Amino acid sequence: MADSGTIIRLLVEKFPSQVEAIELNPKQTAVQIDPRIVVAFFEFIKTHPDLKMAYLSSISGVDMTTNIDIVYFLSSIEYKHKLTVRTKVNRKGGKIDTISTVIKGANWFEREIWELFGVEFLGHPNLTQFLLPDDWDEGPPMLRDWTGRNFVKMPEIGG
Amino acid sequence: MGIISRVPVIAEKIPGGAIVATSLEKILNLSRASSMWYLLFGTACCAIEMMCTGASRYDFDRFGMFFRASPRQADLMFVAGTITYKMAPRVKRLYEQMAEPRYVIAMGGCACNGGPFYYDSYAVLKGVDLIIPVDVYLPGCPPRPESLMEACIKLQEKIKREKLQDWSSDKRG
Repeated sequence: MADSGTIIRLLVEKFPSQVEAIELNPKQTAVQIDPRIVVAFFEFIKTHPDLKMAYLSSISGVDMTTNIDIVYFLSSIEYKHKLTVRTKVNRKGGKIDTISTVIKGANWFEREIWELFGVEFLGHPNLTQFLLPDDWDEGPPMLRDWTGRNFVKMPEIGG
Repeated sequence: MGIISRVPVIAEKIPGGAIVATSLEKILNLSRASSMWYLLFGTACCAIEMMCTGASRYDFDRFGMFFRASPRQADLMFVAGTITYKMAPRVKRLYEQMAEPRYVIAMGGCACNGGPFYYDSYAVLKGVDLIIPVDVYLPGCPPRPESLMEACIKLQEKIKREKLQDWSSDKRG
């Protein structure tokens, strides 16, 4: 099992200007990466003999109001260490390369983020709707400024 | 109608009587109220309480209530849980597949009016009464088994009050 210092050192050596450490907690090491290198980055951490981060727990989308963060949660079955990878895409019409070519389990997570946040995953094998109702026409609903036909905003309390 | 409505009261007082004179309305209402078979259908945490009510500790069987896994055999539907816009057409279809007379108990806050998901939700239907008629509203998040049994007793009272001339499908959903 590699500690967070070792993981970060390996990553920064390989991608010196595109990777930045943002959390050194040994249970939740986190790095911020350049969205243009995702495929090479995941290929590297999956195949490197000291990392072997092949298990993708989840991919999250976060609407940060200025941009959308895509957060990848990975771990290694073999070494029992974890890594969180954050990357930023544009809020409107955001595009990022798919990692489902490297890690197959990313397929459905990416479809979900495409559906709920409107981020397009370039090269995804099957980017079609599957969670929202079939006749959905109101756009990606998880954006913070989204409103729809049956949407009721929480009223301000106090003030 | 005065004598008809008094007859069962007289007849039921006969001790050990093998023949009971009563009105058709009363005997049908009693049969319906005493064997409400409910649809085994739950979409969220309320279904856990419903299962608990059906199990041995609270024992729905003593009301003559059993779960049925097919809407064709069910008289009663508990809408037990959150109904999303994607689920709503399926709930409506299940209700339409039930044979008449059919009854609905909206169990829990989500089924009554959207409950905790009323605000800021893109997916949750704001009350199941928007798609199907509801007989008893049962608030709670989720309601305890005692509350569910109370709702069933209320529904039994409602069924026992039904009139023969109201038994047409256009009056009763």
